[in-house]
Amino acid sequence: MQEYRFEDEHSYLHKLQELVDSGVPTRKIHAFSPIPVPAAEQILREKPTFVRVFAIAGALMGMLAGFALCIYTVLRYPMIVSGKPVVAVLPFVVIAFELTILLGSLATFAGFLLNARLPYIPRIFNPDEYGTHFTILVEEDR
Amino acid sequence: MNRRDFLKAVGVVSGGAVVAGCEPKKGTYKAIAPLFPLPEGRAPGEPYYIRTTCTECPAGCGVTVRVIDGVPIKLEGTPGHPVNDGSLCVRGQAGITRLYNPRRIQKPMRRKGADGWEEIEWEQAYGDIIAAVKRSRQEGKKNLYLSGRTSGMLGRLIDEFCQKTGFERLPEYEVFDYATLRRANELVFSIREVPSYNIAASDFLLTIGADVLQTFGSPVSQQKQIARAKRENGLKWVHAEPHVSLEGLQAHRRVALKPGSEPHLLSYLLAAYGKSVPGAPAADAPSVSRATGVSEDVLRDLAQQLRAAARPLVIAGGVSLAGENGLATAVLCAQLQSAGGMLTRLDFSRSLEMGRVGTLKDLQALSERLEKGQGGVLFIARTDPAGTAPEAMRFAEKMEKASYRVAFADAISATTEKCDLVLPLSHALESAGDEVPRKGLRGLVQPVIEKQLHDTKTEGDILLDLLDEMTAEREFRSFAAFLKQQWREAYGPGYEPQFSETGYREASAKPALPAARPVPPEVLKTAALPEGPTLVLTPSVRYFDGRSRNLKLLNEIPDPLTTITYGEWVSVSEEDARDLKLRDGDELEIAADSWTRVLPAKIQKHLPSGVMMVDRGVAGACPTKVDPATGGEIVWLTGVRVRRTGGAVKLPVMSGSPSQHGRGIIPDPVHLKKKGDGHDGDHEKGHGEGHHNLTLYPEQEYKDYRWAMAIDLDACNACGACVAACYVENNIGMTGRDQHLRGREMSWIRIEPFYDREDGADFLPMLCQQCDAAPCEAVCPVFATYHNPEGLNAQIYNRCVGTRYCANNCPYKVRRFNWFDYRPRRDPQLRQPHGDFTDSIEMPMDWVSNPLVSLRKRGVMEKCTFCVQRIREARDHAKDKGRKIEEGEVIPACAQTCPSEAIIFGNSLDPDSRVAKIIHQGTHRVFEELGTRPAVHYVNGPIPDAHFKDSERGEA
Amino acid sequence: MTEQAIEQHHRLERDILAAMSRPTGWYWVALGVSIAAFLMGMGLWLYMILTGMGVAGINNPVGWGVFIVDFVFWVGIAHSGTLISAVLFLFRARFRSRFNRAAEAMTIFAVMTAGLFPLIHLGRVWFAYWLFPYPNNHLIWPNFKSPLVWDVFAVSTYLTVSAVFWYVGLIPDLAIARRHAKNKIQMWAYRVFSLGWVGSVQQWKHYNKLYGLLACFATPLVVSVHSVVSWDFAMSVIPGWHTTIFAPYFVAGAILSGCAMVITLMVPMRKIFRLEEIITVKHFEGIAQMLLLTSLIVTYSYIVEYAIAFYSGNTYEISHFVYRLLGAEEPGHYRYAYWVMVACNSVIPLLLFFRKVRTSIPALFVMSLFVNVGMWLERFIIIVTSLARDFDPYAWGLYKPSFVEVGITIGSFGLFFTLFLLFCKTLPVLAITEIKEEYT
Repeated sequence: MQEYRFEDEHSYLHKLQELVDSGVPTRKIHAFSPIPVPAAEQILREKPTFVRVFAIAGALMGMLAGFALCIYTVLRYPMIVSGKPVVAVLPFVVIAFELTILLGSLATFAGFLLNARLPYIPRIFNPDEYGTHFTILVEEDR
Repeated sequence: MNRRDFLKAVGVVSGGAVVAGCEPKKGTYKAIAPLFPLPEGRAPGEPYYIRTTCTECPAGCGVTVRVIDGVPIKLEGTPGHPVNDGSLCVRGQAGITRLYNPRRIQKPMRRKGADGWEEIEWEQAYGDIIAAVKRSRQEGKKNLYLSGRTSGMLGRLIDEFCQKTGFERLPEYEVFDYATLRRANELVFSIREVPSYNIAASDFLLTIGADVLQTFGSPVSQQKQIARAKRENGLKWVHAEPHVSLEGLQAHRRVALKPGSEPHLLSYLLAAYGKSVPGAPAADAPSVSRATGVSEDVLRDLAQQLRAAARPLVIAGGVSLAGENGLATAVLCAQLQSAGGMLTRLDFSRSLEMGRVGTLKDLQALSERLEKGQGGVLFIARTDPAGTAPEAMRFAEKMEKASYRVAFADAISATTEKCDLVLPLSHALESAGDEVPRKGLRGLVQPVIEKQLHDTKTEGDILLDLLDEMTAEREFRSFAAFLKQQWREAYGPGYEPQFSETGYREASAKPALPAARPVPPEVLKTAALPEGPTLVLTPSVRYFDGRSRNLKLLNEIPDPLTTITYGEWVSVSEEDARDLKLRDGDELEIAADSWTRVLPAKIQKHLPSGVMMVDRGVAGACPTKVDPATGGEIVWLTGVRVRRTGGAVKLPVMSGSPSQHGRGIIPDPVHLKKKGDGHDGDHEKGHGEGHHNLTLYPEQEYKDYRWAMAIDLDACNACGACVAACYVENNIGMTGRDQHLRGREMSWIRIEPFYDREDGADFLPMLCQQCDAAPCEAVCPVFATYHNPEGLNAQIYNRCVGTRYCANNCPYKVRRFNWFDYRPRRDPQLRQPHGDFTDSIEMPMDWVSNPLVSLRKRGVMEKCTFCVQRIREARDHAKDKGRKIEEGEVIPACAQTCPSEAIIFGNSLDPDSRVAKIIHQGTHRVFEELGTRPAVHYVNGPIPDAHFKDSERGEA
Repeated sequence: MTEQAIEQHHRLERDILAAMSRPTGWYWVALGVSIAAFLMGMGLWLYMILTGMGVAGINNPVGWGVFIVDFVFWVGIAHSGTLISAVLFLFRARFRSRFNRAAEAMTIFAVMTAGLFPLIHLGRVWFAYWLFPYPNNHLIWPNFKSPLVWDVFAVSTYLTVSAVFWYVGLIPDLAIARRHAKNKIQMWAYRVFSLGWVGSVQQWKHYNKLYGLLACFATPLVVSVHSVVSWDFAMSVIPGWHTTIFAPYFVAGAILSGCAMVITLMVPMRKIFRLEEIITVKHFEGIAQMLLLTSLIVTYSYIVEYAIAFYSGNTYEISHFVYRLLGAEEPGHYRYAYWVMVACNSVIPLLLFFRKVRTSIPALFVMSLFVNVGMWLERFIIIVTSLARDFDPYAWGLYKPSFVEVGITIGSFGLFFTLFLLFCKTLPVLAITEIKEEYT
């Protein structure tokens, strides 16, 4: 395992580029940074994340759940209030909207945890600390 | 809470209270033997009904008591009763709370030390009396028997008692003794009586100061007659008065007179009939106008109306006869009655039964005798001279000169405070007796409650016991036995079934036409009232002469004019308020010679400047004078000194504003559509302007019933009977003064006065409008209120979590929240006779709770639901019969008791129902423009093709 | 990237994490006072539960009083947080990073505080759970047509989402705090809550996407929550409540009060934790501009409210709004409340047009206090005066807060500050990572 440490983002990116160009397979390169460095993703040709799929799925589920809950419950015990029809869609929109947001964001968070493999138990017990450094680890092929 | 739990609770609570009450003996209530056999085969918890007679005032209305398991639950007027035909007034409705009143005396009390009392046994009490009688015999003093108005067989027993024991029976003392009126009738018709006025038969009514809706004569009967005459003969009612009263504001027209100027008006009217009475004041328009302060046009118009009327009637009474010119007024009124051919509507064959009611002269005489120390043992029964007699008479002090004083009373009063011995009287619902409201009519009074509440006796039984002890002869086992024997003598055997069935017995009397004769002119001489502020004591619809002051329910219900609930006040005219820079609640010190009183002021519109009013019921002993000519009381205190103390108190005024701010709450004629203007029975269509009913949603369909109510504002007299009935029927919490000051009254129905008209005021009963599109329903997060399939805006108490959003969103503000636990609560120290009103319903008030209506817990919302429990009862009944509920089967408590039958309730889906017809003819609905589509419809009378029950019966 | 940038990174971590060092005496005093106030509030609530709602000043017709005022007030406060972090994130506003951490914390604590009041004002709080949809043996569910149920959903959603958003933002900073932990407890806490974050390229990739999406969810949520709160009133028929502009009007008001509260909190925090050179006047100016903007919107709403009322020609509306302006001749009719409110929310903030005021920290602080008062009054006027005078003049009434209501209000501030003080000492008060980004 070979380690490179940099104080600054620029030389870090430079080194990454260099490694990739020198034909080191990206799966063998592990890059860490104290702040997000989008450029690094391009260099390592990262695939786009799936988190957004979770977001959309969760939001849709939420909306459906909202309407379903309202309509099911009023039909379960139909009572007329203020001369409104038992199934009055307009008021239910509010509930549906709130549930859309709720499930949407929760699903997104869940998606992130899954994709980013968090929480990662071993690292909780002995975390690898790179401090304020930009770090690159390269697996040597034996 | 089902019936069983309720009874258990009652058992536990009251039992506990009793044990805690005082000494153990309290617990052993004596059972009362029913006077007549009770209805057979009644199941526990099933209500049954017993006829008796209301004893709240001398009018003697027939009462049907709803009883469950031996506990009276509610009083309702007896349908078809010649006096009240099914209705009761506010006092009558509250009568049941007198039975359970915590301030009742519960045991004989003997004076102990200066101002202490000890409760004793009856035997000891009798012992004391007999000893005292012996002593006074030795001292050669006269034993005296003073009582309030006594009618029926009790009078005979008292006579018997007196002549057997050497007591002297004194003329009876009543505050409202009609002395002046009776004297006038004696002078003119040579009948010293107050006739029954046949208002129902007249088409024009002029009342002069007579509070025909409140205390004068037979209020319920008169209210009913006025309402019926309005509907059937198109009665026009003019009320002339020197102050302002409910009558003035309810009459079609109010004529404001200068105090004491009534004779001038009357002689003017007499002149209109071409009759001039020697000695009467000048009758020419200008001078009359000057004297009365009424414009000549109005006078002319009035005379013209009177002449034009086919069957006019003039009644003078109340404060108009209680002034310096009272006798002149009464005499001239009598003259006018004969001149105007009204005598056929003065029924002396049915005149009020005044028994031996004397005048203040008699009381004067008594107090002088007492002064001289001639009084031995003094019995004072059912009356409170010390508290009500003219203050100058100093009756309280004179009383103490009698060697031994015994009071027969149900509650503490100024009189009992001066007595050596107080004998607690049973309530009418606990006792046998009879009441003769007017000649030829005997009302039955019979025990209704199964067990005695306290260790009390009826006056009759006390007298029989005493006779037994003193003369060692006992003819009758009990007063009931005495009564039965007397009745048998009167009506012959076999009178019972009819008597107990109807609750009354009426002898057919043929009216004899009285003949008027000239009177000596000197009785007619009038004196102008001195200038300067004048204080007048006004009769009170709530407190009568003060006897109902200690009933919490009547304090809880607002005074109709001022909407003040608890406490005392003096009404001041707007002008005087401006001069004195008064706001409501500023304290005024009112002084007349030695007497002074500090009262908070309430500004009263329409009150003539210089005149101040104090409610008779809250006034107590005032420096009133005795009219030398008649012995009547002069309640006009002239030349009183008034000044602001600078202090101020908060008055529990229920009304948020005396004006409706042009919001069309009171229907103008324009609101009322003419019959059949393009709408077809369906009461939703064609109401208000069409756009009001624009809605996104289809209208709710009703299957069998849509309960609706119509209220005739022309008939409604704002007497408050409906409010009292509602309180009793629905177990509504009585929250007390402090809560009222915080705006937390609980009334489900209220009467809103609006003083917008220059010549009067409008009153509107406001209750839950049971809207079709009720704003309160949708906002409840837990469905605690919803629209039931019969159109009721149902409230499910035990589902309510208390967000109060429904109340906020109710445009009519008829929802009530339980801020505290207002349920009947046991609180021993409240049971002292001296206890003041508190914020909880007091023991044993919980007995009055209607088991068909659940008691609301703290933190829940409550409201009117058209007495849904009665609807349920009727449905069960109809179901048994296998049919729908029929017209008239469901009558909410408010509609049931309304003396002027102003509230009509029914199923608006039934085209033949009265309510449907009224709705069809076009009505006014409050705040209809909000699109709430209320089910309570207001009409301004007359109601079309409304056949009124037994309109041929009663006085008509 | 320069040397001094790297130096700055180290100093940043040091300075910001220094705030979490051993607290001073004043901190303990502040904490003690807050906790005492909170406990007093709870005590009064207990007293009210045991005796009845009657111990509050509310009555007929004013069924809602200070409790609901406080509810709306705190929900309003809660708005700046998510707004600053989400909306400004989407708009890439530079000054955001200095405030978002504290503002989000403030949001969460404010929502928690606000959430208490609907419970407090219930007549039978022990049945509060009936407002939540759960299968039960009554077979009755909540009434989804009721704005109060919308509230339940909106507020609970808002709390959850804000908390998630806040936590997500914290993860990288927790990882930093992990390194600076002073004792075992801290260390383990940060280790656990940083979920073993290392800042690998992959993690950052998902992380950025997540943060962006959450911002997208949170933005409409912010708008919706206070709209729903406003519908508690707008859905009614009461003059003064029943108006269509309520949603935007309330949202603007909420942001105004939120920004004010941010300033109120950040000015002392900056001073105490010596973050002057991190949070500069420039950043405050940014917030001040938002304050000015929202204040103008609110002022506009006030005008529109009256315009609508009078244009409608509706008796009830007109007479009610006249009443709001002038009160009634008798005393005790909230006569001056309206004018004080206008002064606080509309007039005083106009000073922000002057750069001098915008850039003077003390001026901003004082102004923020005025706005806080003004916004509380606004809610009081809307809620109480509308109920005091609605349709039926007979039913008109007055409302005076009782000592219970005042005490519980103070208690709510106690709770809020307690939570915030604890936050200062346990978590990075600024978003270290984001500020670092800016320095590169």
